[in-house]
Parts: sequence; C-alpha cells; structure tokens
Amino acid sequence: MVDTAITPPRRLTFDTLTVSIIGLVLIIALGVLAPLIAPHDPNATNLLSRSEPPVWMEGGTWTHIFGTDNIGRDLFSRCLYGIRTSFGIATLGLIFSAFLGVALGLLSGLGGTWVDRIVMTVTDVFITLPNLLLLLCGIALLGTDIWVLVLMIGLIRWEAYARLVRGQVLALRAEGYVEASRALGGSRVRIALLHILPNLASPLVVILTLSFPGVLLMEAGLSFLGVGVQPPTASLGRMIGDGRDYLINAWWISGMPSIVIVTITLLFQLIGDALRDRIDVLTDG
Amino acid sequence: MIHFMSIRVARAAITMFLVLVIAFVTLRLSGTPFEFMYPEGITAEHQAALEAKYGLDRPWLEQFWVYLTDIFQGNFGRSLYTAEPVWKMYADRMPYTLSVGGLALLLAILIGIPLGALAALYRSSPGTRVGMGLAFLGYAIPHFVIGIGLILFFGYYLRILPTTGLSTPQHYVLPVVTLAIPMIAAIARFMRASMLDAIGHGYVNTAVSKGLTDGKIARGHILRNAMIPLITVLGLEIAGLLNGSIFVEAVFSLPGVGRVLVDAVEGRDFPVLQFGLIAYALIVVLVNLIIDLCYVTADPRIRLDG
Amino acid sequence: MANPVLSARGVHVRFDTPAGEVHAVRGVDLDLFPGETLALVGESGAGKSAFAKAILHLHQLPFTPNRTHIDGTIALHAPFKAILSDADPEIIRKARAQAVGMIFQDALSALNPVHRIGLQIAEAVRQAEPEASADAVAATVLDVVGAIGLPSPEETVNAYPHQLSGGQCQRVVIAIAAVRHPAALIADEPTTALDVTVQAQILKLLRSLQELRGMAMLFITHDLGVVADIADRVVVMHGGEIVELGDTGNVFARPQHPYTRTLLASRPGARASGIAASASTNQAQSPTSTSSMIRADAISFSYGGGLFERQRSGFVLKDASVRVETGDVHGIVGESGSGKSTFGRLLLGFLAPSGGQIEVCGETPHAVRGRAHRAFRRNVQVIYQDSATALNPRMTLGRSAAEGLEIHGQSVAEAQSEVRRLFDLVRLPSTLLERFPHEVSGGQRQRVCIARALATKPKLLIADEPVTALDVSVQARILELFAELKTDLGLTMVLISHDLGVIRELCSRVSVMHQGRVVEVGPTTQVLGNPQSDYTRTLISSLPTRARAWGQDAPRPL
Repeated sequence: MVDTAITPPRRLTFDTLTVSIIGLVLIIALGVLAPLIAPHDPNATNLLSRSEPPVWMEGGTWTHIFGTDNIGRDLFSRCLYGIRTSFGIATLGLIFSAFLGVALGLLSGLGGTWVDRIVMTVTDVFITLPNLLLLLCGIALLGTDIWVLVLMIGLIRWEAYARLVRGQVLALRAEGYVEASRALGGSRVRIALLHILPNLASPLVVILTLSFPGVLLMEAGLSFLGVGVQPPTASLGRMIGDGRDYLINAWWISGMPSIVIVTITLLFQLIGDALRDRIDVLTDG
Repeated sequence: MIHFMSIRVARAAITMFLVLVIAFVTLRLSGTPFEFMYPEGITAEHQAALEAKYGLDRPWLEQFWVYLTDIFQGNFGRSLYTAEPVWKMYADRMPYTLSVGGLALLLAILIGIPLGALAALYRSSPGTRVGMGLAFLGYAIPHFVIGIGLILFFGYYLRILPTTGLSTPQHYVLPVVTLAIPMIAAIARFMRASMLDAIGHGYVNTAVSKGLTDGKIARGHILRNAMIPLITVLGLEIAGLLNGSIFVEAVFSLPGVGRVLVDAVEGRDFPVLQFGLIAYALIVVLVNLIIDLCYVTADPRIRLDG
Repeated sequence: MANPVLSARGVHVRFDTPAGEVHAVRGVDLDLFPGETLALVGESGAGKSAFAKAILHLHQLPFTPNRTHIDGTIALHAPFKAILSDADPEIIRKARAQAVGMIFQDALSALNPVHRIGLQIAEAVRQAEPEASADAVAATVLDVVGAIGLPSPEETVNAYPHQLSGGQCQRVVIAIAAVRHPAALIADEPTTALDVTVQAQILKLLRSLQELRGMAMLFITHDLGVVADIADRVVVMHGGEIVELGDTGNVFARPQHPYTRTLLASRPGARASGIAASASTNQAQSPTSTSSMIRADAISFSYGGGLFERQRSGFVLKDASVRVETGDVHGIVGESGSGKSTFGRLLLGFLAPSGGQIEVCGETPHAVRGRAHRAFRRNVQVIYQDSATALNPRMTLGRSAAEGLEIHGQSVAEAQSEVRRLFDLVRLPSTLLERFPHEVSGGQRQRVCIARALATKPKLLIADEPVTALDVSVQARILELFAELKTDLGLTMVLISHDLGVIRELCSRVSVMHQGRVVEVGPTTQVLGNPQSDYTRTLISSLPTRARAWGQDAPRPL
C-alpha cells in the first residue's frame, strides 16, 4: 500500500528510458559498424599530424573530428574501435558470469541443504575478496589475452547473479504455484523451467543492465592500468591511460575516450534505474 | 550476539583460508622461479636439485603446509627483481594508501549520509534534484576519469592544486576527493532509498499518530532505522575503496601500494602479488568484522537474539 | 443524547494512483458519542479504513507528496475543539497528540524495532504533557504498562518489540494510544492479525480501558462476531458509502439493507449446518469401512539445526495421531503455531516426520517413489490459502488449471476440453480460460486452484485455510462449492483452518491441535458442543459471543 517507491512520474520515466535506449543502440551500432564507418585506420600513425585538437577547437579540422593522438592516430576512429573492443569483452564476460551465476543460483536454491550451504559460503567469501587483486593475479598468471579478460571477468562477477537467483528461487519455491506443481507431481526440471526461470527473467534483466557498466569499467580500468587489452588494439581505457602523459598540451587524447566511456555508463545507469523503478511498480501491485 | 559474531568470525576465517589457497595456487601455477634466476637455462639434474632444495618436489599438501607455516612466521618471500622482502615493500607504501583511503572514507560518510537523508526528506526541492543528479553522475563515472577531470580543471586550468605525489597536505586534496566522489554518490543513493523505505513503515504511522513533529519523526524514527542497512553497505564500499585506490594512485602517481601491484603484474612478480592479495583480503575481512560489530550494536534484534 | 465527540459530514476521500483517481469514501456522515463503541464494518475495499485514517490525516506520510484528497467536514468537539478537515498541520498534530488515539492492525510493525518499549510510550506521554518532568513521565509509563496487563512492567519498558508476542505488542500499541487520555480511540482492525484466544483478551482490555476512562471508540473490523461482542452501534459500509446504521441488536436482528443481510448470512456458522450433517450421514452409511485414507500415528516433527543455524527449540509436532476414513471430511483446527500446516505438509510428503508413521492413500508420502509416486500425486491434491500466489502470474488460468493433466501426460486437445469441463464444475465461465491471475478476483482465483486440484481426479483433497484470505460473502460461496464437490465426487477432504465456523460448516469430524499435539478428536458437533479438553473449551469461549451461540444450539449428545 505504501507508495514511497522512488517512482518519477510515469511519462518522464518512459521518455528517459526511450531516449537512453536509442542513444545506447546508436553507440553500439557505431562500435559494431566501426570498420565501415571509421574514417581512418585506427592504427595508422601520421607523424605530420600529431596531437591535433578536435574539430571545434582552434586548429582542429574535419579530417580528425576528435583530433589525433601523440603519434597522429585518428581519435574518432580509435574511439569507434575502442567501443567495439570494450563492448565485446564486457558482453562476453557478462554472459559468461550470468550463465555461471544463474546455474549456481538455481543449484543452490533447488539442490538441497548441503549444496546450498556450500554454494552460499563460497559466494559469501567471494563478495569479500578484493576483486581487482584477483583479476590482477589471474592476468599475471594467464597473460593479457582478450579471452583471459573475458574469463576472469566472468569468474569475478558471478556471485551477484547467484545470490539474486537463489533469493528469487527460495521466494518462488514457497509460492503456492510451485508447491501446487510439486503436489501435482511436477519434476524439479519442470518446476525450474516452467515456474521459476520465467519469473526470474525480469529481475535478472535489470541486474544485468545495472551491472553492465561495472563490467565495462573493469575492462577499461585494467586497460587503463596497462594490464588489460594490449596495443595496438584500440581500447577506451588504454587510450585514457596512454593520454595521461599529454594532459597539459593535448587533453583530448585522454578526454575524448573519457567522454565516450562516461556517456555509455550514464546511459546504462539511466536505463537500469528506469527499469528497476518499473519492476518495483510491478511488484508493488 | 555472540552467536552472530561467531558465525562472522568463522566466515572471515574461511575467507582468509580461501585467499591463502588462491595465493598458493597462483604462486605454484606461475612456474618455478628458476627460469628467472638462471636466464641462460639449466640442466634437468640441476633443476631437480634446486627443486629438492626448495622443497618443490614434495606433495602439494605438504608444500601448502610449509607455505602456511612460513606465512605465519612472517616469511612472505622476496621480490624476484629487487630481492627486497615483500612485506617491507608494502610496509613502506601502505601508510600512503591507507591515509588517502581513510580520508576519502571519512569525507564520503560526512557528505554522503546527510546528502542522502536530505534528499529523502525534501524530495521535491530543486536542491535535492541537483544533488541527486550529481550523485547519479558520480556513481557512473570511473575513478580514473574523475581524476583526470579534476587534474585538468584544478591543476592545469585553475592552477590551484598540485596533481602528482603526496608531499604536502594540498597534495592530498585531489586524490582524496577523486576517491571519495563515487563513494559519496553510492552512500547518498543508498541512504536516500533506505530513508524512503523507512518512511513507509508502520512505526512511522504510529509516530505520526502520537502527534510527534516532523522533525522528531525524522530524527527518532526514520534516520535511526535507515542507518542500520547502510552499515552493511559501508562494508562493501570499503572493499571498493581498495580497488579505487589502485586507479587513483596511478592517476596521481602516488607512492602507495597500487604502483607496486601493477608493476608486479607486468613483471609477473608473484611473491609480491600474492602478498598484496593476502594483505588486501585481510584488510577487507577485518573491516567487515568491525562493520558487523557496529551492525550488531545498532540493531537490537540481532544484539539480543542472534 | 449528549453532544458527539467527533462528527463527520459529507466526507469524501479520493486517492491519486498511477491507474487514476480512486474514490474510496463517498459522502459519509457519522457521529461518535462519548463513551460509546461504534463499529464500522464492511468487506475489503468498502472504504472503512480510508475513512478512519482520514480523521487524523494519516494517509499523508511525513515527507511524502500528498496523494489524498479529503473533502467534507470532520470536527472534534469538547474538550478539544477543532475542525480537522481544515488541514492546518499544527492543529491536526495537536489533535493526534491529545485528543484522538489510533490503534493499528499489525502491532509488531507499528512499533519501532530499534527503540525500547518504554521510550516509545514515553514519547506519547510527552506529546500530551509537554511540561511533565522525566520522572513523572517514567512513572506514567510504568503505570500504563501495568494497566494494560503486561507482566513485570519494569522489565517490559526495557524490552524491544521483537521480544514481545503479537498480543503483547498490541497491548503496547493500545497503551500508546490510551496513555494520553484521549476523548476518542480509533481502532483499525486491532485484532485481525491475532489468534482467537488473544483476540478475546485484547477486546476485554479495550472494553475495560474504555469504561475506566469514558473514551469513545470507533472500531473498524470485517468480523461480525467481534462487532456483536463489543459494539453499541454499528455502521455498515459498502462501496465507500454507509448503507446501514443502527443499534447493534437491531441491525443483527432486523437488517434493512440487502447488503447487510448478505453479510450477516455469509458468516461462517450463521449458515445452515446441513453440509456437515450430510457429511455425517455419509459416514453413517459406511460405518464399518475399514479403509482409512490417512493413518498418522504418533507423528513428531522438528526442524533440524544446521552448522550455522541456531537449534530451534522444541518440536513443531509431538506424537500427533490422526485417522481419516475414506469419504470423510476431517477438520484440523488450531491457532497459529499449533503445527496444523506442518501436518498438512507431512501428508503431502513435502516434509518427512522425525518420528512416527504416516500412511496416506496406502503410501508413505515422503518415501514414495517412481510409478507409485505419480499415482500418489494424482490421488492427493492440495489447495492453499493465498490464491494470489497459488497461480503462476505468467500463465493463463486455463494453462494453470491444466498443469496436472500436462504432467500426467494428456495431449493438449484432451487437456483443453477437460479444463472446460473443470471450469464448469467450479462454476467459472470459460471466458476466463485465457485470462491471467491478476485480472480476476480472489474468489475466482481460488476456484481455478480448485479446478487444478480436481483435474487429476484425486481421492484426497487437503485444503489449508482455503477461505481465510477471502471476504466473508466470497467465503460462503467457496464453502458451498466444497460441499457440492464433496457430495458429487465422493472426495475425502482434510480441511485445515483456524476458524471454527468454517470447520463446523464442512467437517464431520475434527481434530483440535495445540502446541504440536492433538488435544481432542471426535465428531464436530460433539467436540464443539461438548468439549472435553481445557484447550478446546478456551478456544470456544474465546469466540465472540454472538458467533459462539451456534456452538450451544447444536444438539448435544446424551
């Protein structure tokens, strides 16, 4: 009955959601289509046009909309390819971790007391472990291949999904329709697939959306530190990190990829918040 | 209370044990250090002799036991490059990391809690909207971007604050603020949600029907109750703080442990890395125990029963 | 008659909701006189709570945008004069502090979990007497804690709400409301969440406080038994309007409005006891039948404590024995925590007993496997209390009802025609087949659950509080349906309920459970008419008087 849920007026939510989704789809499209759109080869250096500013600044040209970096590579093209790399790694990592998390969550929720206890102890431990340190150890061990990043991100991130799924399973398991299905002789698989998974879908979509920017930033952060995606592959985080040395004279080398990254995470955040409000509305009645 | 805390202590012990296992496995999987010690290559007999000397030919379980006893005697090994004892590498730099982190935590609590509380109480005021909009931004922007933005604005544009190192108190301003901003945002957002949740509870209705003034209701029945869930969130934020400090130290070239860690990854300096893992985990685990203790004291339902 | 303490004229309450405006109260005129108890009755959605909350503007939570519009006049008279509908926040606050006390339904959530009981009462005292010294406040608090019948006041004031029982919490809430000597008390379903024996004690406490302090009381409830017990006058609300108002005796004896008549007629126990009678004749026809559907001998059950869990003390069930003959309708009655629902889950095999023997339909429920398990699942079916969660929100009603048919291997076409037949059987129009649960009413959902349970042609139906969540008029129709199905299909039924009225209406035999033990078993008329155990007697005497009447006019055995 309490309508204190943080619901902005419905129309506003709708608009923000729509606009954010359109914006995000646009950015993803730019990344996916990078080879077709990019005006330059992202790795082509040109020592004659080093550190050129973006188009709207004095000295900027339309040839390099975002300007060029310290060895004359076109920043706009590199950003497009960077989006491609970052989204690719984040998406694969997220899918891997969601898969792992959902499987373990279902196992924990439906597998009986001892399985549950073991899985939950592991999740509890995982939540207190320093994520970044584990990532760093894994990378030191396995190298900086893109697949290593995907694997490590997946291994670090599953715990939140496992928790969510388990919680939902426990709640759903006590629901009358699950008990009724058991009473009718429904098998565990039937109950999991027919009654539990479909009802898990919407909270799962919300938490995946909400955690996507975190995964994206994880890759960007590692690349920023120089232990993620290796050159010459374009990565937004790496570009920001490499540009640090030129902040005084050419801020845009770090600045342009920063703006791109912030735009992406903000859009995700807006979508996630709007989705969460909607789910709240749904569950409140 | 004793029951609750003993579970937490047990869980902390399990966590630390698991961390030690991970650290051990990482160290062993990384191969033997002999390639590094003898870059020109060694014969099979020589290798076997070395393995026997360092105990590497014994069963894994026994090696793990030796490893554990070493650690409990404070013997964490030496860096493969500088041969410096790893604990000393960290001991020299940890104070910087902890002081920046501690100040950031303090700042985040002092700003985040009131911001979130006010935002919940004055939901429709323009100030609230601006504040929560900023919190929204702070939540979405990574440390390294915030840091670069602050360097550009305060360091190069206004030229009022230094941007590298930690030599004077002014040097602390930008790193601390950078580290604090995402935390302020997270605390404010959580505090606001927690307060709004508390407002909807039955006991607020009772307080209203007693005829309490809004101010008394806010202090006695909303704020106090909303703080309890916030405590657990602080625990998670502190773990995040350690992650963030690595980035902040990289952006501002601080002499903290972040640089050591990144160098260790690049150089595959495993003794250094594994000590970092253990040290960070220990800090997080201890902080979480303290947080749990606060939680227990704040919530009579656990203090008296759990 | 004296001047009223509180009067309402032409009160309308409207809520803004995302789905549009809801007009909850439509023009209520009401007077509350000093010292009287006025009962406000109606089913959920009648607007009775909305009206009660409107008096003190309790719809409006602090620091929350206002979504409620109150029109009309609500006036307080001597000694505290105010027009409450004028919405001057300070006047309303003073009225809450000094003139009108409010009692809520869910007592545990009405108390703040982080503050001691004493502090929460003291807060109320200080509102009424701002100048009182700390010692005086403490003395008043101790006084009132003693007066509301809580053991050892000194310890209680230092306790936290979670350390008290539901009934004790409600006493504290009453203390908070009454400690300021208000002219009027508003009690919003104060006993609905409580067990019947506790309810009786709380009603007694309210009555004595009221007499002692001469307070007027506006008592909101859906329970007509309670009304008969406590109210001088009664107001019946329906669809936001007052449909009947009068002295309690008159209204009960000669209801004027058709809605009041339906309401009175649907009371469990007010209905004819023909069903139970027919059930007992059934039983009489085959008295020598030795085929027991359920044999439960000396069943014990306790939740095991794990490594990280606290050992829960004691047993949920202890040496409980129940035997149900084929064709019988057996009632299991008890208060919350009596173990009656656990017993139901044991019968279904969802839990395994820690001791004793269970046989249901010739099988051991928790150990049956394979082919026998499938047969067992066809033969034993269950219906739950909350129809809102008993149906998968993402499945159509038809699909839900067909679940058992699908599981037991019928083709889609067969299942569809079968479901139409089942919908007929439970009196649901086939137009609802493609609807989703949230689109239909609670009574209709419960019918779908019944259809689903009947799809596999079960021999035994276990119904766990099947009508508790429903309004009384809907309850009546569902109980009728059960009775018909029982006769038509020859089902054996176990009916688990806390409501003696429901039990009496449907069951030929009854087991009374208390703290995990079966304290009394026998034919319903005999157990309820001439109870042998102390607990059964307490249970029956705790029933509000009017509802109790039927227990006594039942024919007593010689």
